Amino acid sequence: MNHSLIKPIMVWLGLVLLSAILFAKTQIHDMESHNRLVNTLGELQAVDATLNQDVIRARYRLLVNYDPLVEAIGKSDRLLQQVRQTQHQNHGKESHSTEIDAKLAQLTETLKQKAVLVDYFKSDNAVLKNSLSYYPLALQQISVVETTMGATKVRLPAGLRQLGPDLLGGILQYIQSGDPERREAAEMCVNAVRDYAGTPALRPGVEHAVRHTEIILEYADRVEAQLAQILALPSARQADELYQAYATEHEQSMREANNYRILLYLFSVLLLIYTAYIFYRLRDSAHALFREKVRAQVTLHSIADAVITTDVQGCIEYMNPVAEHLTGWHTAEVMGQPIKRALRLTRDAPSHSVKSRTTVSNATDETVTDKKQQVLLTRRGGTQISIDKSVSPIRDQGGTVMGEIHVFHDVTEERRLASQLSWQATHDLLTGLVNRHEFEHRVEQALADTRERGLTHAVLYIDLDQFKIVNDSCGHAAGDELLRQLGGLLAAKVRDNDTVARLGGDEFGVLLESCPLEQARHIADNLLHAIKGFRFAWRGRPFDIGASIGLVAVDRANADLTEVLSAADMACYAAKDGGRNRVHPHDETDPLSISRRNEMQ
Amino acid sequence: MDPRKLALGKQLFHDPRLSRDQKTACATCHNLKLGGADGKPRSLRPGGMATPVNTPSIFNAMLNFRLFWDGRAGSLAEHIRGPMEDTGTDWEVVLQRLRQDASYVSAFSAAYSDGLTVAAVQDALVTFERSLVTPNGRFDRYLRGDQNAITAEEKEGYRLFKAYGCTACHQGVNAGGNMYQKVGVMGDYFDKRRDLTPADLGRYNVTGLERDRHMFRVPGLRNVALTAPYLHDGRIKTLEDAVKGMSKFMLGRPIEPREVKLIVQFLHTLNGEYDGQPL
Repeated sequence: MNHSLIKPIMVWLGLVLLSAILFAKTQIHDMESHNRLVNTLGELQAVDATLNQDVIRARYRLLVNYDPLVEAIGKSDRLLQQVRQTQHQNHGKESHSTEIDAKLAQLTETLKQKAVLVDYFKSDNAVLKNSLSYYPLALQQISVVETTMGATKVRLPAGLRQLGPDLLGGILQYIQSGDPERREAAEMCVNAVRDYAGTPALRPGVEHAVRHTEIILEYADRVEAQLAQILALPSARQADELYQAYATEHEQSMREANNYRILLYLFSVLLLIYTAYIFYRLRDSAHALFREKVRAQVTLHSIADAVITTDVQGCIEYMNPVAEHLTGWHTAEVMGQPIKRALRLTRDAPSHSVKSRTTVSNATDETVTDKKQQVLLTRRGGTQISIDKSVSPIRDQGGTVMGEIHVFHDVTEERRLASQLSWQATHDLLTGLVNRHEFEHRVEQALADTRERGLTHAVLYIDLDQFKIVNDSCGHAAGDELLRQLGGLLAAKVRDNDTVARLGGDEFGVLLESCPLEQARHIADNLLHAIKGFRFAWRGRPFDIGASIGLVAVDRANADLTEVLSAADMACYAAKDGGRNRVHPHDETDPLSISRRNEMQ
Repeated sequence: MDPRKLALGKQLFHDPRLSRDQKTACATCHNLKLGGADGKPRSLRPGGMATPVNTPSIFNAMLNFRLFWDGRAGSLAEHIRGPMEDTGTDWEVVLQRLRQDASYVSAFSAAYSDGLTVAAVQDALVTFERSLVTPNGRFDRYLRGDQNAITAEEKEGYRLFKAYGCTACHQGVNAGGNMYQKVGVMGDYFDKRRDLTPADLGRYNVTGLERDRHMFRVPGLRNVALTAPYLHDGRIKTLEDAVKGMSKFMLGRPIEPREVKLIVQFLHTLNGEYDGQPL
């Protein structure tokens, strides 16, 4: 995953989350529960109205039992409970409305008051009903001439007889009109009747009549007052207000939900655009990644170097065609296998095998694991080639090593050319012998050897005597041929570790290593003998060759190369001077030598 | 009604393990064979104390607008807690006892999703009590149009019952039980007594309001002939005396002995049936 995409995707997720929250907000308002609430409240109002009616009916004896009242109160209680529960559920989600709570509490309180009032009303109305049904009878008993009280017949006083109908009429008038004056009149009438209670025979009848009329006067007021109170209770209005409050709240939350919905639409559009953008970016980055990968592979495929990549365990992941060609293995054959299966290395010096790493972890802390090293690669099939090879770790963005990349190329030809160049630099092309430069170099080493280890070496200077004749009479080709043949002859006549060099023209030098002067003299004689015996023929014409050989020992007496070489040169000159075809060993005290040196300086 | 819950309720109703002393069941006082009460003026509570009031019949209790003489319970569920908690019985203790009984545990697991819990025990009891109705009495059949269901005397008794104003309070489906009334509204029932108990204050004990003094729930008169003695204090032994007492203290009008007899005869027609059998 492209790192640059992480932030946009986080933003995208944030947008999705916000949209989800907005969606939840639009769903907060529960239409169904609002409807249920309103319906329940409507039903409650209906039940309450029925209750009021039934109370009136009960008051005017149109309702013979109180069951409907009890039922209505029970029902309104249950409905109120439902309203409270529904509202509670609703308000679990919504912002709490104290106004609705207050109104619901008011209504609850009112209905509770009503229930209590209805209970009192039922009791008092029953008492009133009883007295109303009985008092005409009781008054009748005191208005007839004779009445039966238990076993005895009682004759009523005339005053009492008159009071009965008066009281009946008065109470009836009072009940119908509610006029306080009539009530006063009725009360006076009752008191007048009560006066007759002093007569024992009359007492029971009088007491009944008085008691019931008193009850009527007292309870009629009470029941009327209760009825008025019940009907005046603001339950209907409060239910209406609660209904209104619900409606308002409903409307408000609908509006809110609508606002959230609009916001949600806007957000959805934004989200859509952003999603499209992210997809675009994703595709773009995928393309870029793909292009990058293709480019890398094409690059690796087309470079001249061999490339092998491994994972962190050192197992092969990729080989380019050059690597396949050099190792002789196909990628498919060694994929996932340890790298040393394809890359079998030995040091250029064949005896030492390269200690190759099996895992990369050893190299974790190195930026470049291997310096360039020249090694031999044993190819599939056993042939060996020289390669230049470097190894680097592959790291991810965090710097953790993910694997290694091995880069190498074939240097076999390069090395062959290099060694050829070095031979040419040190050898004489005509004879194949070491040249002057190399000869001097080796003499210098011999000098150093002498100084360090005290060994004695010897140097011969050989100058051909008849070379000029051959060259002049038969041409350069013949001279060259003579030099080539003579070089071969000289090289064959010395010991294996001796050096024969062509110093230039017809001059040869020989370095005899670890060779005491006696032995050197002997070798020089041999060489001279061989040259003398050598017959050179050019186009059928024979030539006799002779040589003058100067011999000088390389020991502690010699200070440096110049001294050794000039001594050899002087010895050679002395040999030539002494009549050619001879060996002349250098002698410090030799006057010839001295004079020659003086001449040279 | 779930028959499993009903069966459990019935078993619990008769199970003395529900009481503190494990000797008293609901049915000890609400004896279904004794009209849903126990025929005693006061019942014996666990621990030996008498109940403060006469035990009302459990039959048709669900038809009452409130429960207990003072109407302090609004529902059967509330009511069943009364006798338990009044006698200091701990529901949790009861539950532990019932849990010892594997048959209860399995039956409750079958009937209730939560298994054996206090709420389930109470619900089973309420379910059973709701089934304790006594329909189809002779008077019910008469009201449904069966003119021969009650005798001529009983019809006369009914007429008198209405004429004397008894129906001012004893009305409705339970012939009462849907209102409060003051005992002694026409003549002071408690007047000359010096041995008043707190229970005699009636609803005053609940509300503390003066006007509720001696207010009691009007009892329903179904099966009244089977539930002597009468009134909240169980002081009235016979139905005749009850009618006479009512005429004096509640109606404030004398009723002839002959008429009392007829009314009592009528009241007998209010006996109903339980489980298809006349009580």
